[in-house]
Amino acid sequence: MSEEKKEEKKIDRRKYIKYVGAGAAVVAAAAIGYGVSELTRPPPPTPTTIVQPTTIVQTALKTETLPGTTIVKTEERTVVQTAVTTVTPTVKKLNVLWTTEFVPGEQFAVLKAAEDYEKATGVKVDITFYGATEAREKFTALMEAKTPPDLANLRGHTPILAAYRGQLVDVSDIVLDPKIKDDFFPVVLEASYLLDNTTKKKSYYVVPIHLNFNYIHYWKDMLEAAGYKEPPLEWNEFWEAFKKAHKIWIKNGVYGIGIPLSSAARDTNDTFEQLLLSQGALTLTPEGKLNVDDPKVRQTIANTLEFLVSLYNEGYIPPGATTWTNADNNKAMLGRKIIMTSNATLSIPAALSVTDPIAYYTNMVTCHWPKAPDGSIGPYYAEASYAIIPKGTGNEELAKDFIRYILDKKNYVPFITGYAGRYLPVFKSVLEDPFFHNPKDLNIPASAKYFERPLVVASFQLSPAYAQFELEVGWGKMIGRVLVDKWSIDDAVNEAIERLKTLFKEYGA
Amino acid sequence: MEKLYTFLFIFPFIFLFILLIIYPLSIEIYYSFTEKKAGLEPIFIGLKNFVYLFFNKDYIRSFFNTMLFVGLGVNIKLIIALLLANFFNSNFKFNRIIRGLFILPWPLPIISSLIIFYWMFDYDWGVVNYILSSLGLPKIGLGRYNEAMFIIILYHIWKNLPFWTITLLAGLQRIPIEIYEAARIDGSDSLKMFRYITLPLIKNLYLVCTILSTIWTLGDFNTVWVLTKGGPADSTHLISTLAFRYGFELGDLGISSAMIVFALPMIIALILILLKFLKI
Repeated sequence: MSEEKKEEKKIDRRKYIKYVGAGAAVVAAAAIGYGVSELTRPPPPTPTTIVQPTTIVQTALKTETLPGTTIVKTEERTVVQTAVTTVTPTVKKLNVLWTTEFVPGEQFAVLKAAEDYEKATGVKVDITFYGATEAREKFTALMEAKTPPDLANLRGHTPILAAYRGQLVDVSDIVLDPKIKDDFFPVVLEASYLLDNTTKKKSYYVVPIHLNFNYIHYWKDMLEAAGYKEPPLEWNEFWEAFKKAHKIWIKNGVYGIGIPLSSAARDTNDTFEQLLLSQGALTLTPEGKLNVDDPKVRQTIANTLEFLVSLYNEGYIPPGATTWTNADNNKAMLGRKIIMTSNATLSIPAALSVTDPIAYYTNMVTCHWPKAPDGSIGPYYAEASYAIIPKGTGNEELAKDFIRYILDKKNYVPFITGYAGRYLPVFKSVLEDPFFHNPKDLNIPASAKYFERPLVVASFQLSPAYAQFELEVGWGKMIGRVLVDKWSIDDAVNEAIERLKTLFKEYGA
Repeated sequence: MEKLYTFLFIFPFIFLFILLIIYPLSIEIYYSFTEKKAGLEPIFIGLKNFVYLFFNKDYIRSFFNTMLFVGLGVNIKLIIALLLANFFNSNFKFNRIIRGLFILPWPLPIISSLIIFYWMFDYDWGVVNYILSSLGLPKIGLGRYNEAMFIIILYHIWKNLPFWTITLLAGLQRIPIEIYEAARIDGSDSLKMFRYITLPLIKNLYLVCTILSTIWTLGDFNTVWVLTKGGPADSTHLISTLAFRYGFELGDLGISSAMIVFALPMIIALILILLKFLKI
């Protein structure tokens, strides 16, 4: 090629940059356009309801012939076609957000149910797992982004508040299904009957999936060293047993009482709630009205706070308990750094059953809370964990179908037992399964024995205002006011009670 | 044609700037004047959120904590960084090896290093407290406000010191060596040379570093969130962590936005000062 031709083919540098720049801008604009169209794409169409047209059939039934006339009798037969709800064929995937923690089996149980469901229906179930706190935060973010999951499993207060704000689909058709309705524990049904404040209507906006109480666990060998085969059930003697054990083990860096005292841990609030109930103090009436002006309740709150503060100041509770997160008492207990702890769900023994089955069967024990100081037996609070369906996903029927599949007894037993005993079943019949009554097991049957005492619905599931208080870890904050900010007991109790009253006013309860 | 090309070149940037900066900021400012619960439509309530914040003990404390964290964290870090940069700028054996080791905290993943700190300072079972109690010294932990704030600031300094030391070292290396040689001939000692040569010549860079570090530190979320989650008793929250707690834990995006918007003028003022210094 001659030099002249080469010169002709050369492009001016400025022009070259312009062409490349323009090309890049067009590609970038196309990419942005695609991104925007993806983000703003409307949700998949809602399931269509196909109703066959009513047909009228005229049938000559009988013909009577009289002289000169023919009378034809006819009958109108209406063919009633049952309304058939079909899932739009294009929707073949369920996006699910599920809470799992601590035990690998939890995920396997859910994944197995999803896999079996996929095989049975051809619907892909796409599950994302989060820890309880992260699941709550993720759910909030997804709701705000208007891209909610088709189905979520959440513990505690968040579903109560979502129902209150009118964000959840009514699932009465699942909960009140005659096949299962009477098999639910009554306390579970009560914990699932919620208020939608936008319609002022109470209904079932959540499907109970798991059940738990707040349990006490202890290390058998450490307590035995203090001369106790098991902790006594009387209030003073119960705590004295762990104080004695503490005095023996503290030289090894092991603390006697591992109660969470932090405002960062829900466990703190839950334990405080159970301590109040064990002493017969109900902060809510059964109708969900605030009961903290009852002098007995107020006094019990103050006494319980003083009791915990003195346990902490006397050194029976680890100093770091004021910063514990939900996982930290689990870690301390599993690491044998504390002799006893309280915990919502059986997550600590369940984790131990995987990592050290021998210790699980021989050394870690779940026991009852002590009786009240006056010898009476206070109730336990029962908490349900829910499956919820956010509104507006377009996949509501499919989500309901998957929940029904899980709740089907033949699927539910492997599902709930897959949690290694972390949760109890929501069905009476399933609790009779031998899994929950193995005499060699020191934890799961003990947790089932919590049904032997009176039960109440957890306050934060009975009232949205109380759910908000739980979300704020109100009791934990009250404890922190005394231990960290050095407030007086009275001032701290007054602030917590005032906060409760403000929330009840805000929520119109 | 020239104008069209100009527009095509800057269009992607303007689009992304509007999408990722202007739009979220505008939404945040709007939400701060509304009652906005997660997933629900906002309801305009005027200045109510700001009035609420004005009397909210947690927010006032978080504001104070942010000032303390930024004020102490940035200044102590940069003073130490300047001294260390001066040290690394001199000639001594193993300088390069020590410099290399010193940089190590900087590339460490933030969350992992925070979790390591969390466990090291665990009051009951942490290695730091094991050593302190072995020496008969009082323990230190995240369970008390003063100690928790100290550990938070300590982590910030430890993690970011290498970056600022290297930045200032680069500035020191641009000072001509002849100036020092002349000063030495005139009988100046090291202290005088630092006072009368190094400081005046590094002053502008130091100020830019201070402002830049202040802006970055104001937005720090990870340190407090991983170490204390704002505890004990919500006492160590910064504005950023408290806003997250209100927004995504309590689902109150109105209050959460107001917390950030309330602090916005301060950040904008710092940015303007920085731009003035950089003569942009």
